[in-house]
Amino acid sequence: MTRLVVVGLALALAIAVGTGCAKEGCLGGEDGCRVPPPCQKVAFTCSGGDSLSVETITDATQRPGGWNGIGAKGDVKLSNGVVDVVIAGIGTQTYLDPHGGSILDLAPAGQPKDTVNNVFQVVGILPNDAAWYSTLEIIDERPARVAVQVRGTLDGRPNVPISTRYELTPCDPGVRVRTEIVNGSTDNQTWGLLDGYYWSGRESLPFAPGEGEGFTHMSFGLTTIQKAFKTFPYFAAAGHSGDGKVSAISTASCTDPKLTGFHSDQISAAGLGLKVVPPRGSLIFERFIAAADVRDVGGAIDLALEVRKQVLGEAYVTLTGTVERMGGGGGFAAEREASVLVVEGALGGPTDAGIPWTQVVPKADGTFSVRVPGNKQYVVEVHAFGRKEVERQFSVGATDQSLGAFVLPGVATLTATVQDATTMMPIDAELFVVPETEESAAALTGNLHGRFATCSPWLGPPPGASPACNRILVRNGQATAEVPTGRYEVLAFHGPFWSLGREVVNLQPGNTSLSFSLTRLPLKPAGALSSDLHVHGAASFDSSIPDLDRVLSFSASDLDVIVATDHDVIYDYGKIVADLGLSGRMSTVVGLESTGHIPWLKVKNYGFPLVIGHYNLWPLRFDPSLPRNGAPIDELIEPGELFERTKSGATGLEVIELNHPWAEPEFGRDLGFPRAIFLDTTKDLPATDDGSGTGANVYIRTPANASYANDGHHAQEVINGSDSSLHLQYRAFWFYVLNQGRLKAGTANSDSHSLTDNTVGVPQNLVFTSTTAGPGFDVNAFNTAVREGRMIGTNGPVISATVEDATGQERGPSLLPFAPKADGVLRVKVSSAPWIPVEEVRVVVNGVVVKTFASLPQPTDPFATSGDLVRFDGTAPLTELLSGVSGDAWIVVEAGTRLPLAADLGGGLDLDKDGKEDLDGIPDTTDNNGDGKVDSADVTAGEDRGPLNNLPTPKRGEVGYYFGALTGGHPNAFANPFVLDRNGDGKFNAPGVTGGR
Amino acid sequence: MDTLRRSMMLLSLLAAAAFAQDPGAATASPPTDAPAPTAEAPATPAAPAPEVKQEAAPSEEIAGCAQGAAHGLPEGPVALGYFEADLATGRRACPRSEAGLGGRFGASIDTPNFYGNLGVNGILFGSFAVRPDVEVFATLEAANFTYTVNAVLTATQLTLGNLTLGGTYQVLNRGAVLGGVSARLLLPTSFETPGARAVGGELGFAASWRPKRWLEVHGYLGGDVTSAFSRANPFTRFGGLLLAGVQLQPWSWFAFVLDLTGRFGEISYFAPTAGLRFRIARLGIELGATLPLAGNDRHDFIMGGRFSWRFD
Repeated sequence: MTRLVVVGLALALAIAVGTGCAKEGCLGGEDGCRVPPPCQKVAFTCSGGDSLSVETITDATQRPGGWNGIGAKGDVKLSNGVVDVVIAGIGTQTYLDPHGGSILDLAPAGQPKDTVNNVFQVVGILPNDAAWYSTLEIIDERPARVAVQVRGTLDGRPNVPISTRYELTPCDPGVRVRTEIVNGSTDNQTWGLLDGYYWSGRESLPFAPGEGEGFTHMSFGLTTIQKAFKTFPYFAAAGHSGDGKVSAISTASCTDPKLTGFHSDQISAAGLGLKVVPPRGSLIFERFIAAADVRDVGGAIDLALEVRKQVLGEAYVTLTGTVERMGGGGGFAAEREASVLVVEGALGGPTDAGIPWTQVVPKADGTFSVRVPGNKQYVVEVHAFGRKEVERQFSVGATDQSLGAFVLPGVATLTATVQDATTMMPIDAELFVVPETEESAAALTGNLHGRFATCSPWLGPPPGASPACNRILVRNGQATAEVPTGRYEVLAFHGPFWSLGREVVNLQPGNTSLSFSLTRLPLKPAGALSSDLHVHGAASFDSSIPDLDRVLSFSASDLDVIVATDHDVIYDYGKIVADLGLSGRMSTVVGLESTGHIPWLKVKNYGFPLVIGHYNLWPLRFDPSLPRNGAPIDELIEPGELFERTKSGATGLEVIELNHPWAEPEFGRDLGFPRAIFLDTTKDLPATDDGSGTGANVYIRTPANASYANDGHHAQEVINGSDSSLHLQYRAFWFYVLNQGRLKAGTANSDSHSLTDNTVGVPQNLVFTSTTAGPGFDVNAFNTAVREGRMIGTNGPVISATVEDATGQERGPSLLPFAPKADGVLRVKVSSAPWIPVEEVRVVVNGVVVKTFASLPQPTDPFATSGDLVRFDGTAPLTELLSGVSGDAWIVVEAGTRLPLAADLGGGLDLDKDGKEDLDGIPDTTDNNGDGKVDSADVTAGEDRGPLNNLPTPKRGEVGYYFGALTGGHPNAFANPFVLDRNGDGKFNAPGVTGGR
Repeated sequence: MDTLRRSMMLLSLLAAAAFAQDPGAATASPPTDAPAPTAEAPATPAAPAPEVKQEAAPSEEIAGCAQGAAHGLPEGPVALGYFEADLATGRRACPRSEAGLGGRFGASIDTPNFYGNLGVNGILFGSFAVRPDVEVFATLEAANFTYTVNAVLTATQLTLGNLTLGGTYQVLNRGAVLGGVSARLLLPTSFETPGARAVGGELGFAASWRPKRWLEVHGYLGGDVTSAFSRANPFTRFGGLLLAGVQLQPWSWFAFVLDLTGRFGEISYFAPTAGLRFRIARLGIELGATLPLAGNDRHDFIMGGRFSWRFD
């Protein structure tokens, strides 16, 4: 026994000696620990170097500038005179960062050029794989360093501590970062300790060296993400707002030759590779995230290569050269005009075999300088207007090398003037440059090194400032842009209620001037305000369009009221409206689009956590000193609680709008609440929540801490986007909720994020209200009209519809029930601009199209500025429309192109566990093979339903071609319902899913 | 690493000292009444005659460790545990000399939490009966293969695994009732954990009651501690194990074992373990499987097999 006791004591002693010694950094979990200074092999020098500072932000003026600058009260800003970096304060939830401690801003010091949305730490893709920091400590060791240390655990996993230190030392052109994590759980884990970089798809583009990569990365989804993991020596990303408010960042490891991760336009991850981490295992990741005051990734890559030189002893060389333009003319003011890509490889080699190492935008005088690893053979490509124009091969040794001059083809300079044909006054407008023929279109097609949208011609990055894609904004009647030579149609647009201008031009090097006179058509009804209730600008994490261009686009579409609905930040365009002199005729409303990022919500019979989708809320108080400019934290709460949290920030009668209710999820995040929760629209909603957790119960329940039900919104989008994609689904859902007696106003919004994804004001709402835009605009009156559904949604056709009530008064569309005249009629008149054909008018009663006025006469001259604009004028007796319907009813009038044939082939939860998803009543598949029926033959191979396609847009020469060229869709409009209290009990009794039939 | 080396040396020296042959051990040890060798229970190695403190069983009867013992047939609790090597695994009460190899496969599939873990261990093990009442033993995970899933992210790892060294000292041998105290050390041999080398130890008592040649009732009570030589928090954890089981041996070449195990500590479970045992002369074969019915352990099941060759 004695020996056993000895063994026990020996064991305890040995363990105590061996395990009780001091731990590295904060891996031991001790109070007061310090994560060691990161990247100790790295040092930069500069003149000065004594401007280190660290401050807790208390005022909006301390926020680094730039379209992504979101630092706010409680965040911590580090600066060394070279860069500014802002670390989110504890509790500041931002995008995918659940609780603060992530990088919010990183930009050249003092420059309004922050292009970083968010850099945060994760070990995987699940919500509980993200760091949830609970403490923040400022380390002020000036003059040596300033740092922020954050400590916490993985989200919801208290036994997995994680600590990160962000540090600046004098002259650092970036932030040093070290993260430590230890597996205190009792399970083996698969972890990749990674920084997540949230780009969002329309902002910075990641670039990483790799065979066939550079800006190009394999596409992947949540279920295929592992295949996207690759190793790379560094990566970089630069913004593309096109207005000079851009910079670039790069990341290189301070310890290892490679980073591991993945890249997409939406998100990048870079760090340690995936590995098994058993209990007690720990990981340490040190990296240098540089920021460069450049318009390309090259400037940031230069810094990454310097870090690698210091850490790994890896040499680099500097390549210099000049880009010139044939015939001279113009400078190289932007990346659209010249971009130099350096690719390891040989001319004529397979395009997917080369390894892009860097990319640089020449200076205004055409010169460029960029670093690359030495002793390689490179092909240097020069791109202009989205197309590779010149490429040459070079063998690069161990010393710096001059590459000489690269000569680009000449370009044309297009100058356009646009005026109101009646007043002869200059107007804001938007030009669409369209190749005259399909053949020339192919020759002019371009993109930004394979990223963003492909356009013909490609005049600039689609998400950014004008010119973008093939669009040019006209300010106060004037616009000038450089355009590749060729024959074009140039279309001048000033909203759907104006004539469309057109000029055909053969652009050659030199200046070409065009003039347009547009006519205001008598289409917009008196008392109606053209309103787009869903637009984004650069304040959104997924938009790069500068404020000036954004507001100019509002005016170019001749909008009266615009609601700012940037993602997760409250925003106010008022100052820009005033700066542009538009305050007299335009009103903007401060609002928000709450955007779920962190999945959490569970519904019965579905295993994956969900987000609640997107909601617009306005009017709200804009306070840039607060996180999210005052927007509430919208994660991990049900819609009802979100509405509750927003209430205190409302500055008037609030409108809550359910956005794109049935949109496809993006990266596992649903965009619409009803689709997220698998609402079955073939069944009536329960009267009360039975607590079962089914989608229907979740939809109608009122969450704790809320006075709103989850379906407490006032309006929902019925049309979203200029091409009206998914309109059939949104429409079906709207009809469902109307049939449930849960009356919501239908809206039509552009959801525009740029000049090119959707055109602001197409579609829009004509809101019938007593107030007017400009000075004296009464947001409460406007919102009252929206909430009451006194509006039509349209991308062009204007519906005028009335129904006689019991007193003989003509009633317009509204959610307010009224008793109709027994022998009353529905009167409908539909008008549109000559370039917006209307094929048919439909009357929908309780969800069913009961009457269609088809084969309407078509306009013959799309560019006419006068003539008959009425496409339909007729009546229908209510007795005919309501035939077969018992009880109360609602009537919706629609106008436009016929709707595609579609059906529901699945999409709901597999409640009977037969492996096939159940029908949910929402169409998901169109007649894609054109055989007149919707069945499995229409479904994409390997899928069980879909796609849901729009009808093809008309070809050149066909009616509606120009509408399609401008919008990508078809004319489409609807009026909000007439709600008929047929039994006269003073209320609307829901007809249910049968529609009262 | 200096700390690691110092600790290793200290552990090794102390463990060796504790189990070194000691002239006083015979007198300090309780009496045994090991029977004469039989055809099914060959003679144990020569050992000092124990002090007899109770009546010996009649010479024609078989008692103690030989009762029911079939030469190569594994005995005691099923050697299938949830932890590193054989840590926190029931131990037999009777010393024996054997060597063997085996494998263990465990699966944790937690679909609602998007977690999965598959572990395969290739195991070498052996024991040596230093005396009839003293055994030293070792278990080495010669190859540890791990496959883990975090949602759709997976990782695999193949490394040298854990090693335990231990000893059993039989303190009770009263006819059909046997008991032994065992101690085990988990040595920091495994490369599987980044930044850490697991260490630990266990002290336990194994009991066996063999009222019939075909029946053994056994039990084990142990307490253990695990920690790590680590740059991080070693997360020192204590736990206990209580096991009760029965072996039915209808034939000398076959036995069926059913154990019930209760584990408490940071990882807890209540788990039945079933085993089938075979022997072919000196070759013993054990096939076992276990699954936790309660507790926080995430295993869905663990199964394993062992082949052993008995030398004594």
